[in-house]
Amino acid sequence: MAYVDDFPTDARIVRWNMAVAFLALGVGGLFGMIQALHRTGIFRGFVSSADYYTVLTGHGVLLALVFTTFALCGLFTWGVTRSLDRPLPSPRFTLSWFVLMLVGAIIAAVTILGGLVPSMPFSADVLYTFYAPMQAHPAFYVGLVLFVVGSWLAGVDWFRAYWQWRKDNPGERIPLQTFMVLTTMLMWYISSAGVAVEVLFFLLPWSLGLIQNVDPLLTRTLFWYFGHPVVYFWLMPAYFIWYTVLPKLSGGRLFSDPLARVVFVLFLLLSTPVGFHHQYVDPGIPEGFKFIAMTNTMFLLLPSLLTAFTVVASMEHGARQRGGEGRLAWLRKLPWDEPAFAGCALAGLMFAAGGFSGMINAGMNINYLIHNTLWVPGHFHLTVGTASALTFMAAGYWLFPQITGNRLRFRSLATIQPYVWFIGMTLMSNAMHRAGLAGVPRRTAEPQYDTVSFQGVVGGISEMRLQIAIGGTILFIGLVLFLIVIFGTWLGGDGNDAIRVNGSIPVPLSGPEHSPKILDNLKLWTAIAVVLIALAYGLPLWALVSDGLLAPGSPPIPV
Amino acid sequence: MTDSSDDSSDETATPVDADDTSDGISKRTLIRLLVGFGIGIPLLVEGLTFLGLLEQQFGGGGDAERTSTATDTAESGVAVGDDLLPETDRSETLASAVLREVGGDRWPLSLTVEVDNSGDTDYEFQLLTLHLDDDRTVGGRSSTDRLDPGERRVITAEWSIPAGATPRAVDVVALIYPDGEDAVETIERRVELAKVPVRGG
Amino acid sequence: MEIHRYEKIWTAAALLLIVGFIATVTYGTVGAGVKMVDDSGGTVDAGSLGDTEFGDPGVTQVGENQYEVHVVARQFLFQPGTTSPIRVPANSEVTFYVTSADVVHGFEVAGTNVNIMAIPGQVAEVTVRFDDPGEYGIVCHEYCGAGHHTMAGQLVVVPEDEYEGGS
Repeated sequence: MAYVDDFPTDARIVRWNMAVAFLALGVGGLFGMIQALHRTGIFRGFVSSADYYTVLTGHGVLLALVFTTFALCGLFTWGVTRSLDRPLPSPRFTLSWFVLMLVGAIIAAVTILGGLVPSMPFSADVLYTFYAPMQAHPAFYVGLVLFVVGSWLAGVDWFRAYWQWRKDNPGERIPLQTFMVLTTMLMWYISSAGVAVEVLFFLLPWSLGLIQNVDPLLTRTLFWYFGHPVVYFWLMPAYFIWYTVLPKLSGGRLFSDPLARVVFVLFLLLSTPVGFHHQYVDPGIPEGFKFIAMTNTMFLLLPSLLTAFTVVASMEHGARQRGGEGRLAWLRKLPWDEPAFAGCALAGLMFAAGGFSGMINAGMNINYLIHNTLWVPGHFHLTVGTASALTFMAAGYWLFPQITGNRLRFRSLATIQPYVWFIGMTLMSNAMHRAGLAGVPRRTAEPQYDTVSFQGVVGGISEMRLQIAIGGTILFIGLVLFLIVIFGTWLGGDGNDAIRVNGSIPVPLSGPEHSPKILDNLKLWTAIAVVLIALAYGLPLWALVSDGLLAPGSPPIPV
Repeated sequence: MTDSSDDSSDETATPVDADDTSDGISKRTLIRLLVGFGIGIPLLVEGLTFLGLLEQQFGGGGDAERTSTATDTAESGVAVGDDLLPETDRSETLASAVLREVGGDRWPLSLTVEVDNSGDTDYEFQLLTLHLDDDRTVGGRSSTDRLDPGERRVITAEWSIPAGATPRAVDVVALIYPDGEDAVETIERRVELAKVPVRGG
Repeated sequence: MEIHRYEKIWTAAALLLIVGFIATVTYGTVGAGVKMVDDSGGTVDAGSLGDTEFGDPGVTQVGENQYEVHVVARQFLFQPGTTSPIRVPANSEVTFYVTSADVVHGFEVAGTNVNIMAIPGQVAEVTVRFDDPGEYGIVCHEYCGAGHHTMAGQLVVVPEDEYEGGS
């Protein structure tokens, strides 16, 4: 019995969430290729350089907000219902958050795309970070608000399922997948408060003319209060897959359930009090707070390094179950021709590289070398662009048959797709990192200046440009392959195939019975998280508002 | 479907189907190709970069060459206050160059030239086609019309250029009218312009 | 909670690595003396920069080998820097004061680690030593509107004996 047979209503919501996610991925990915060709000068015929920034805004919002969040909602709905073995409590409530998120996303997307059509009076060429005093059309902010509130309600839905299960199962450990969902959403509630305040109390009324000025540094700080933890909102669903599904794909079991819980608790605690590492070279923030953010950020390496151990150990266990032997030769026994496995494994491998380039970003004074250069997108295309995106795609290969009842179509395309993505991303990201070291700026339509010539650190600038264009094109090909497989699978059957994939997940080698009960004390961890945030942000925010909530103020400057 | 502990779920879901792979390649060969290229090429790229970094740090000419990141073009081109055609004995001074960023696909560029016919005969000065940095051009025509000796006129030429394009040069024509029956002396030049900063809204 | 031996070793190594990274950065701060941009520049009213030292941006000498450069970033140029390069002499200590007249801009001297944000209402203060002559490009690296990619300038460090005063 597949998931779609056991939970038909929830399977439908999972399908819709994943469909919206992958549609956003398709449009956002197309924009990405246009950008890669445009900024390298290879082909500028798609859009003008002014419209480049519209495309860039669309790329950021569709991929970093819409794609990631809808994918998370699909995966988490599946995970909660599966691990609690009960459907979500109210299909109508579930539908309402999905519709709210969808409407918000559509409003924001239409406002952004309006920038490409001169006859449309609305636009939002403000990029995914929408820094004041640049001002977008008020509808953009409204769309964002609806979207975020919808995601809050999704969390409520999963908590309700958990509370119902708890009534029937007092004293039992929270099933691992649900534990991960709940800790992720607690982190989300705490962190999205920052951007909610920024938009609801400042940017939206300001864009409607209800207030004259906002303090750009304050709104920027509120954004980055949210802007760092949001990357964990992207990463934790990927870890969710690596911990609970990848071991099974490898042929074995999760090495340690307790350590998985520790990792997610660490993310709940540490994700938010680090936001100043995005503002290392901002004026107006004293160095002491930047230093605290730096140390907190360095400790954020810990849960990821722990994950590396557990994930590799689980894969090794699986390989040995399949007959692998020797110190490293067991690697050969892993199912590298299975798209779901390959996608997750390659995503994890690439994440290791991304984590280390992130440590450079985190290195406070080292950040001077690469802030706002192309190094930064080089870094995050490895992390959200591969660790998250490729894992979600891999999960899609594994999950779609189970939520549609159709066998995976175009299997040979699926087999090569993760490798295509991996190669394309290596080429593009490697060149972006090198260009960043030379000082080439990010977020720029034409980084070729009359008065500035960049000096490459390793390799020449024009060779880097070519590599970015080639890498970006290969990535787009990889994206198209994925979409063909997924939509071909969804639309290619009537839901009654005998699917080959087995959705059951074996118990871990070291189960929850080996972990201290205190790990399940979500209230405690939330309280500690709030305290850490108060320590990291209390004084700086107080300093910023003490000279006036709206001062030093700037009026809106529409772009 | 809760976590199950029966043995059948320990195996990976998909059976070993050698003939399910494309063109009858064996599973083993397929994996070797995929992993070989798929991970091999990236490892090669990263390895070369790493070697390059080591060489740059420890080998190479050291960092004695504090490499310049500025180009030489800053000082060339006609800037505001300069004469557009120094070769004539009349003065054609670029009084202002304004490029404004406005919403939409095209931005207005306006060049204002102060022409002083300090010669003995009639004179005319025209601003024609504008050349952009990507070799595109925008047509236009602005003329002082025929100026008497001693007359001075200010003309402003406007071009609507693609948003984000950079003005590189402008075609100018100077017509020196003769006293008698001689032919008009025509001077046609493409004058390079210094950078015109874009002004925001 | 039973933890596998390898996992304990791994965790210890991870913590050591983390502490090592923190130590490196701390050395940069207290050992090498690399200061971060902070709030020492104070605040200004972006709407009335004309009434401040930014009303006449440029280079001024304030000591034997010490100079101050006030830079205003606006859509889409640096004042000074774009229409004419910023000039300072070699073997000097230069303090930049950078602010914005409109939206958030960036100020990056390519090929150096002078890399700061220009935020309206705030003044970014950073002190730089220029030992040798050289020419550098300046780039705005924070998206600031449709003309963002045209926003650039130059900084020229002139040999001491050729320096004739600021830009």
